[in-house]
Parts: sequence; C-alpha cells; structure tokens
Amino acid sequence: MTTTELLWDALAKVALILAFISLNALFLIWAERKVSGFIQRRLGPVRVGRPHGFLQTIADVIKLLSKEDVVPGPADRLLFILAPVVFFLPAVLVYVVVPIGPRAVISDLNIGILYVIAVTSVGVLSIFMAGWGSNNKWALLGSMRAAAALIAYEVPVVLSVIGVIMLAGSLSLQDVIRAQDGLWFILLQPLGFMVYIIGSLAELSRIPFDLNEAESELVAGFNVEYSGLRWALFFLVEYSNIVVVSAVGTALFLGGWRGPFLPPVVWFLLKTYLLVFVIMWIRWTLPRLRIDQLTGLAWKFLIPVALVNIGITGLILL
Amino acid sequence: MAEYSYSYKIPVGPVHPGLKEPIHLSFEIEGEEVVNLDIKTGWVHRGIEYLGLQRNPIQVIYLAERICGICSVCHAFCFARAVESAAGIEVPLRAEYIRTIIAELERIHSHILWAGVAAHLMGFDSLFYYTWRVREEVMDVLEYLTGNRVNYGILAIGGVRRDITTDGAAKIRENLESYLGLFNRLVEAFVEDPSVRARTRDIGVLTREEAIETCAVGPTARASGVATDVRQDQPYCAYADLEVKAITPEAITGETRGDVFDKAVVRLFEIAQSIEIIEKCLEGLPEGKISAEDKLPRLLNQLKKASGEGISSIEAPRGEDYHYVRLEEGEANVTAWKVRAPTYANIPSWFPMMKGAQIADIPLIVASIDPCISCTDRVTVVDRKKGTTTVLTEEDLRRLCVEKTRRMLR
Repeated sequence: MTTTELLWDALAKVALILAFISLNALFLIWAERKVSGFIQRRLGPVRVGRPHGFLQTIADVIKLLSKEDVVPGPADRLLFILAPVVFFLPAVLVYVVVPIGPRAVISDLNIGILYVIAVTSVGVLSIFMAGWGSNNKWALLGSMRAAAALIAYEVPVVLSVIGVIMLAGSLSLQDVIRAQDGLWFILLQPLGFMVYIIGSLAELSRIPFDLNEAESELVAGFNVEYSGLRWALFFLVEYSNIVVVSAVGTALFLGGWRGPFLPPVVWFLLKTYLLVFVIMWIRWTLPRLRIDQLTGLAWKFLIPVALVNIGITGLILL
Repeated sequence: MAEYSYSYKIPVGPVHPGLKEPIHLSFEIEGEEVVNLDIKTGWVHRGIEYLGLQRNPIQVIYLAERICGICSVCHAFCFARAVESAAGIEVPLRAEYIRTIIAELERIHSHILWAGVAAHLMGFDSLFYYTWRVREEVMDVLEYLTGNRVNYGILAIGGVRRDITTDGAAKIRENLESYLGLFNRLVEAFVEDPSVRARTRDIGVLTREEAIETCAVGPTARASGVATDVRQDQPYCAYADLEVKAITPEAITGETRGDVFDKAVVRLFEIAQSIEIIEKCLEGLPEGKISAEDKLPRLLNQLKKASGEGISSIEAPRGEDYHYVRLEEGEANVTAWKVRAPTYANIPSWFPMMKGAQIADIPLIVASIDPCISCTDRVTVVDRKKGTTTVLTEEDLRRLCVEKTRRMLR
C-alpha cells in the first residue's frame, strides 16, 4: 500500500471507531434508563420518541450541544480543557485490539492484553487533571478517590487476567479466543472471571464503586464543574468503557466470537451486551461502598483470591 | 515556626444533592475525616409564627399545617391542642381517636419516606424507589380519609372535620394488612442486608450520655437508648388508652450502639408499632360527635372570649413537637404563638455524631435525625463587612415586607 492509501485506511478505521462509540453511547444510555426503570418498577423515558423513548438520548445530546461553554474563573484553563480529550483518547485507542470476529480486528497485536491494560490506565490521569484543573474541592476529592480506587483495582484485574494468559500461552486476544476451542475460560477460571468483573466495575467507577462521582456525597465528583460538550465527552467515554470492559471480558472468558449457527460477529456482540446488561444490573441492586471499604475489598479480598487463582492454575498446568 | 494546619473546609449546602432542604454546614476536614463543623440555618425562614399572629386560631390551623410538608398533621394537631387547652374546649372522644389514627398513618409515611432518603444517600436508588412506591399506599389511604395527600386539612379546633366511615375503616384495615407484609421486606432490606449494614453500622454514633446532653428527641434519642416518647411519658388523646412503649434498639437487636443502623431499626419498628396502634384505635373507636362545636362563627366567638395560655407537646415522627399559644379576651387573633419543631432539638446531636466521620458518611448522618429544616429556621442577619450578627425582630420583618410590597407596586 502507498502512504496515501495507508492514511485513508487509518482514517476510515478511526471514523469507524468514533461512529461505534457515539452510536453505542446513544443506545446504552437509553438502555440503562430502561433497565433501571425496569428494576425500579418505573417506565423510564417514554415521551420523546414514543412509545419507548428511543429519541430521549438524542434530545439530550442536542441539549448538551446547545449549552454554554463554561470554564470556571479560578480553574487551570489548559488542564481543564485538555482533561476530557485525554479521557477520550485511550477509549478510542483500546478498540484497536478488540477482536469481533476471526478476521475482524483492526490490529491483532501480539501483546494485545498488555496493550488494553496499559491504555485503559491512562484514563485516571485525565480524571486527576479534571479534578485538579477545576480548582474545586469536591472535584479534587472525587479525583483523589478515583486515583486511590484505580491503584487498588488495577492490581487484581491484571492478576485475574494472568490465569487466562497462562492457559492460552499468549498475550494476543485472538490467540486467547482460539485457545477456548470447546471450553470457555469462564469454566476453567471462575475465580478469575469474578475478580475481573468486580475489579472492572471499580475501574469503571460504577455503583457500588462510584466513589469518585458519588452524587449524594461529592455533589458530582471530578466532573462537577463541567457542562455541555465537555461533560458529554466524559459521559460518552464512560459508556464506551463499559463496552470495552465487556468486550475484553468476552474475549478472555466467554469464548469471544465462538458459537454455533450464528456468524461470529453476532456472537461476539451478543455476549458483550449480555455482560453490559449484567454490569447495569449490578449497579441497580447494590448500595455504594465507602472509600475505606472499597480499598479494603481490593487489598484484603480480591488480590489474595487472584493470587490463589494463579497458584491453582499453575499447579494444574504443571 | 508557624503552625501548619492540615485541615481544609468544605461547604455542604445550602444547595447540595445530599440535602433535601437548604441548610449550610461547614465542615473542617483532615484527609477524609471530619474534625469540626459549623451549622448555619435560615435559608428557608418564612415568618410563619408572625403570620399566625395576624390571624384567628381557626385560620392559623391552615398555616400550622404548612410548617412542614411531611409531618403536616402534627403541627396542626399540636396547635389545636394548645388552643383547646387555652380556651378550655373539651374534645369529643371519637375525634381524639380519629386524630390519633391520622397522626399514626402520617408517622408510617414519614418513616418510610426517611428510609427511602437514607437508601438514596447510600447510593442505593432501587431501594429508594421501592420504599417510595410502598409509601404511596398509605398516601392513598390518607387521601381517601381526608381528601388530601399532604396538608390534610382534617384538624379543627375542638375536633376533626371528617369522620372515619365504615368504608374508611375497611380501607385502613386493608392497607395495614398489606403493610404488615411489606414491613418484613423492609426489615430484610435495611436490617438484614449486609451491604446496607456495612454503610450504617457504627456510623454517626450518638451515645446515651451525648443524647441526653444534646437534648435529642424522638427516634434520634430512642436509637441511643433513651426511652423517651411523648406518647409514653405524657399520653395524650387515644394514647392514654393504649399504653404505648418507647421503642429502643435494645429490645429488637439486643444492643444499643446509637448509630445510623439503630436509628433505621427504631424507625422501621415504629412503623410496626403504628400499625398496631391504628388497629387498636379502629377496634375501640367510640361513637359520638367528631367536633365540640360544628358552627364556626360560634366557635370563633367562644375563642374570642377565651383568655389564657396553652402548651401542648406531641410525638411527631421526628420527635417531640411543642407549641405555645396565648389567647386574650376581646382579641380575635392569636396573641402569641411559639413553635419548637423536633429538628430544632435534634440539630445539636450532629456535633457528637460528626466527629471523626468520613466525608462519605456526612449526608447519611445529616439525614439520620430526619431533619426538617423548614420547621426549624430562624432569621439571623450577618453583616460580613462589619462582622456583626443581628437577629431580625418582628418589627424589622414587617417593615421589610411592607417595603418590598411597595417596591413591587411601583
């Protein structure tokens, strides 16, 4: 391929990812409202786009786009403006290695899993930028909690994935899926899967781990000063991250695109959105933890469990 | 060397998602721990007591109900009792029973409302929606009995305005039946659930001594093991026939810690107690008139002739509510009216509860006394430039009012 062709190819892929992120957020925000409504015996949105409120999110987007662009006076302007962009970047980058089919992946890196873990950890930097840049005590408190939670939960997530890597013998997500021929890793690694889901929930900072934006405690947490499009970016990424976590979870534990009859892509999306539903379900059935309980859970429970899991896997492989 | 302080201040309120009404709490924090706090009230002062002095007692009932939207019948109830004691009006027994039933129904809805707010503050929105949906049922019964969901307008000086018919009694019984079932589910959700327990156990502890020292009232005091309940200590109305006993956590869980968990336990079991009280009231509902004087002009004349002071205290859902009323002969209006809502007595208990608490627990501790800020507010004017604090008198408020009206008319 010539340079121009490469450039067009790259641009097309970026456009594809951006389109997916936007459409996914539109759908998931609506879905979350409906799921929460269902769990709480409410209807959820019904007015805009009758009868099921399909257009509610679009109406919200229009509202957010038409809002005034506010940067608080005492804020650190550069950090404040950069933070949502920095938050957005890793969310786009991580899609590069997500394998939605046997051949449908933008780039099958041979260190795919390491890449996912590394790229997603950058997110907390932008949360801290937002908290510090807002020059607001609530925002700073929220971002401090986010940092504490990420340090605590990065470890068990990585440890939980190690078991899978040992079984597959490869860091490439495609190899991991190929290794799950017949038997999914969720059956071989139930502990690992549990630790992965709990740790990921904490990294997504959703209830019961939504400490960095606990609305009834911290007003809104790190994004309290944000409004309009910048706030929308944070929200967009949050929902994109839910899909990333579910997609990676699907690839690592649920056999990825494997499945009978239906085409692989359909299987992959089905499993991913099933995990997304489970994550939503958890959110609406548990109360929020306190910061000490959150870090305690990570250090005192998840990490030992993950280590035991690695030990058992090693013994069996020997 | 200068002494460095590691603490910083964060404001909670007057507008904060964890607060349902405006009040300003200024916290001194070290890390995530509360070291000190300062409370400023006065954001929703409405001058209701002053307004009351411009009206005759029958009109004041309308105002008294609007002191609080949640325990609305309590203030009207308390005020009516104070006026009756000042004017020496004898209330028919049936009316006393009906008042008791309405007050207890209100206690049920108020406590369930509190449970929902607590769940929301824990970040448990599904439980919040569940409790508030459950609360609708008792609201429906109240609407059926009185015509209104809130501000029932059922209290009158010398009795009540509407009778409980056989249909109404059946409806209440049906409702109580369903609440007995729901009560177990609420206990399951709040008392037995480990994640809720993790958020409420040993949080916002108020010891028995501290409760007595800060003069806490109602469920706040009872949760600390102080067995105080106006219904038990100075039984009024139908309570005299019922032998109500103050609920303390010791009787239920076997220990008293005075934390948020205990406060939830006390409130939940008071729902069960209210159900029992209402059932007994319905059983023993005496026949007879529901009002000492049906004709309002005649009642007004009687009140105009009356002279004296009346004091009344009743057990509102949040604790002891207290009204003082003075009537003078030849004067149609109430000449003095003083309200002390339960939250006013409970606010000092925030200080011992907050010491050493985590930021995450602030909203829950604030809510644990079930504060009703509107009932509490006093006006204090602080001049920041001069650094002075003055309390506005009636005269000042009146002058400001008149000035504002004139400005608006211009």
